[in-house]
Amino acid sequence: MSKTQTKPGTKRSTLPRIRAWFASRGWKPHAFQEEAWALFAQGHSGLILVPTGSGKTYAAYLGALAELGETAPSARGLRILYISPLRALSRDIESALRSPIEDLGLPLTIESRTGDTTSTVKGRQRTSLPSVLVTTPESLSLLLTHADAAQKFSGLQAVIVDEWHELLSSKRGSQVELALARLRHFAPRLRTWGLSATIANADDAARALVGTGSNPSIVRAPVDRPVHVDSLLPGSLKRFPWAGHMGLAMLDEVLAFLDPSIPTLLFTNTRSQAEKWFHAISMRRPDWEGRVALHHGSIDRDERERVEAGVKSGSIGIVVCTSSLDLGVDFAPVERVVQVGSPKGVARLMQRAGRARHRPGEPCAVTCVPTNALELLEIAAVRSAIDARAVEPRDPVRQPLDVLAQHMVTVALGGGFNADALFAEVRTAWSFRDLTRESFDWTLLLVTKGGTTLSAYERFHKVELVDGLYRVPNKRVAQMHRLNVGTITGPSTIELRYVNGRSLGHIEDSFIGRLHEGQHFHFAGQTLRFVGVQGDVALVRPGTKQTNLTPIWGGTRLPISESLSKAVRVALERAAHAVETGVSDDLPEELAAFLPMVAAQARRSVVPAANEVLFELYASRDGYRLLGYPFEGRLVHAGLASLLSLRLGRTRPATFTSTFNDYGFELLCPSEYPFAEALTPELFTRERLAQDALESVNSAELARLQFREIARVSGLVFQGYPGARTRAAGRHLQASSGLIYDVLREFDPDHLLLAQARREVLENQFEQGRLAAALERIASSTFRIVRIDKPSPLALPLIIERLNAQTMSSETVEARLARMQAEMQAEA
Amino acid sequence: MSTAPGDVEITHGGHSFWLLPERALYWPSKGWLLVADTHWGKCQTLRDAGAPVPMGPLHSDLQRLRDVVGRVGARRVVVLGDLVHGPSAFAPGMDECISKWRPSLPCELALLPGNHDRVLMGARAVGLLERWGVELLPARLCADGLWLTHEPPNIASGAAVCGHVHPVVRLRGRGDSMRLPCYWLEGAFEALVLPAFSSLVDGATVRACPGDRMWAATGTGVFECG
Repeated sequence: MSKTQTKPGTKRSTLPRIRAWFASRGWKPHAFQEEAWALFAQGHSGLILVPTGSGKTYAAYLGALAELGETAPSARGLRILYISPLRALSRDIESALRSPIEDLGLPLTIESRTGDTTSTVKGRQRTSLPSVLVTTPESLSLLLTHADAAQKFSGLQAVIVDEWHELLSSKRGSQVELALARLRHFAPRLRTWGLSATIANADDAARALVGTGSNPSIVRAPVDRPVHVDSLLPGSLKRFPWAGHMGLAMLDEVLAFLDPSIPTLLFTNTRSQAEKWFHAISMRRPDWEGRVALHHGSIDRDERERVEAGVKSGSIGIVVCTSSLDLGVDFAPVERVVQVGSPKGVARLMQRAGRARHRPGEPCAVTCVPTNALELLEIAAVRSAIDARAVEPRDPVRQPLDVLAQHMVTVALGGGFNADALFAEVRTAWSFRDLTRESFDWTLLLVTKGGTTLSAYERFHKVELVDGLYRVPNKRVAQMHRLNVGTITGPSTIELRYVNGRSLGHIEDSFIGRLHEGQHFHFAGQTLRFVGVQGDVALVRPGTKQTNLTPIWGGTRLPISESLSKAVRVALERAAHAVETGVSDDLPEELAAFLPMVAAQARRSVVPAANEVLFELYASRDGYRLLGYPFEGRLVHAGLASLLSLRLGRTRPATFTSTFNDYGFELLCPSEYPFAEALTPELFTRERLAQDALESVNSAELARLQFREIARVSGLVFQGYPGARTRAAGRHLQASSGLIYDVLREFDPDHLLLAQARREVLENQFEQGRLAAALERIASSTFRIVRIDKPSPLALPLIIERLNAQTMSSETVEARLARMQAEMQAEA
Repeated sequence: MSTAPGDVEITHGGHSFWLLPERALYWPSKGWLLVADTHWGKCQTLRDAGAPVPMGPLHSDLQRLRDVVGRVGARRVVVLGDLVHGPSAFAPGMDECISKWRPSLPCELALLPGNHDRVLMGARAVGLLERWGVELLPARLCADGLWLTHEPPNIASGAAVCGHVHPVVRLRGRGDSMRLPCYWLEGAFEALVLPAFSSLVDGATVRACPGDRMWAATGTGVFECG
């Protein structure tokens, strides 16, 4: 290919040369790629929906790159911005974007800007940005705080947002929406393209991406990779647990299946589970040392990169991993994907399956390993949902004012703003399209005066009106804000290091806080002995003893999705029908393996039919239990448990502790409660649902917990400077967000961030719409109320699992105290 | 004057005391009200760090102190250390708030300084305690054979009343659990540790050793618990 054919930088599209480059790599453009290039050239924005590994990066990027050929050579500065949710991917993306530029000798520069970028590069980028920049949502917000942001972004022609489905339904997504609105203000002709895996609500996703100002195009690829789901089944259900999540009962079967000469990703659902599985495999197969590795988000970056390189080169055969490897890094050699434990969601399992033979068009496969009997149901269910392509929708977060508050300070730093103009701009972001002027002004008051009740306090004047524009005049406020941008996710963590200085990764403060000197625990696949905390580092030495202690990371448990819970109900019905009729020939093998549990349920209790809801009453030493099994997914059960606690407590004051999982819920009452009489269809009425839900949010701890995150994002609570002295301060403040919540509730009950905390609980934890539908279904079902004297297979997981237990009481503190004392005296 | 419903009378170091639900200890024979860890200005410290805490908690703590003095008819309030939280005590709003409130407290106010009160010994604090009408006592005081200190003693040296720990007791029942501020009588040192008076501080969960006694304070009552 001749490089003199078209002179770079002349006013002609370089698309013909890019096509030639494409062909020179042995590739032929897919129809969806052609479509995307054409739409870009016509000036459209939109969303490209194709499975992972189908070439979507080039579908979005090459159209934009081609157009740079029409740019006059004098025009310098940023032209294409590529946003990726994972900074670990930026290097791979940068090299993929660089190859056409280098091969064609285009006069363009390309760089990355993430939290890992060196200070030299950051310094250079302060004066001028490259033609193509690869960055993360957080680093983009940081760039927007530069005083000359308007000038820096004025020449921007295209923004590409990778993995938009991942960002979309989180506050990081709202942050990106606001940042995009700002970029469109700087560069009105800007085109925005998003890349996404298949989702149910593509139209909303596309609108959220391009904002309210334009109509998005949607590009879909017909290249659909078939997904095969199979499973490793336990030899016998007798020793197969009814409850639990670690799944080590299946270790023998998994070891027999694994082979380090066949590159395999073994996915687990939590980091603790990954640690335990890695440890168990290493103990049983010491001969595999070096060929089995561990990868999760808390492990040191150098180690993770070593593992990723090992997979690519083939030196590492088996990686035990978590969602840290869900996205991105192209692992062409991977042949097998194993999923330990519940698949949780349809789209999620498809994404993981897609990591094997990560090549367009080839089929992908995943082998599921159930960790308890009920997960057999889920596996059968997920297969039928995948076959029906019943993937989940991803809904954008609605109007998060905490994110808006953070954005306001960002914009005030990045050149300042006029309130009317910013209000109009913010409303072009899809999540904020219904924002009222009242809420906007309230948020403005929050960042200028600290809110309505604090106007007397000077420290709060973060943003001030200077010469007609809102700006940040205080250098300390500016510095604190820049350090806090990007703390949208993640609790406070501490670095873990060997005494000799080698870093192992990061671990939650709360876990370290519970360790004492000399205690042993597993982390990053090592057994470690805790030495102590020095400054902002936790020090360890190699361990000398065996231990079972593994950190439990907070917030890592995902509920199963609505799509999957629906499929689970259908699968249960099939299994129950098979037990009833004795015909099980046409069942998938997972359901056949599940039949002994169905039989046990029938012996100890009842297996509910599709038009029935089962309630079990169980009295034991711990108290009196009501167990219910609507099979609606954990979030709905959480909402249901709170709602019932409230309604039952109204008829008769009592204290209930609730536990819930994906299949049902449990209410535990320390004193005898007449559950059987109380279980009427009226108890499940939809009337007053909104008020009752709000009231139960207020009486339970839920809103208080949610407020912690909101306080952090909005900058109400400062996360701390990187450095020793301030870590203690950060911890002290984190402990205080609960206090602040209580104080605000008492003295400033109309604070909008409190209202947001309640709304987020109602939307996220309660899934109000789903809850209403579930109530209706339950109220119109036949109730089967059964007293049991031994836990049934369905009850056992709930009784064992008290991790997420939360208490709601309608009794006075004094009454609870008197009861506890009476219990203690009775026991003594 | 005798105890009201909710108060609990105990004998400690040969003296009679009332444990009050308001997290204050009354010594009827002397007419002294002993409180610990008021941490005035904690809300300001949180505000300085960027947290949106209104002045409400300080106002309601001051109100509660005045009310309990009025209820038992105390002649003198003795704060067993940590009257203030830190340098935020010098914030103009704080000074003004306390100075305005002080005349409404119908009795003497004395402070036995604790670790947080060090800021009150510096040059910036000159005149502050006078304005607030606070008499400064030594850090350790013996009154009628009873030691009053901020930090609990770590050797047995006679009966004592102190603060500093912010003790909280965790109560567990079947499927239920609560944390409540408590009075903690450490049997080994004969020390009665008072709950923190401030509503803005977290507490340390303490466990009773053999010989200890604990009373939870709920705001309306005091209950002995293990």
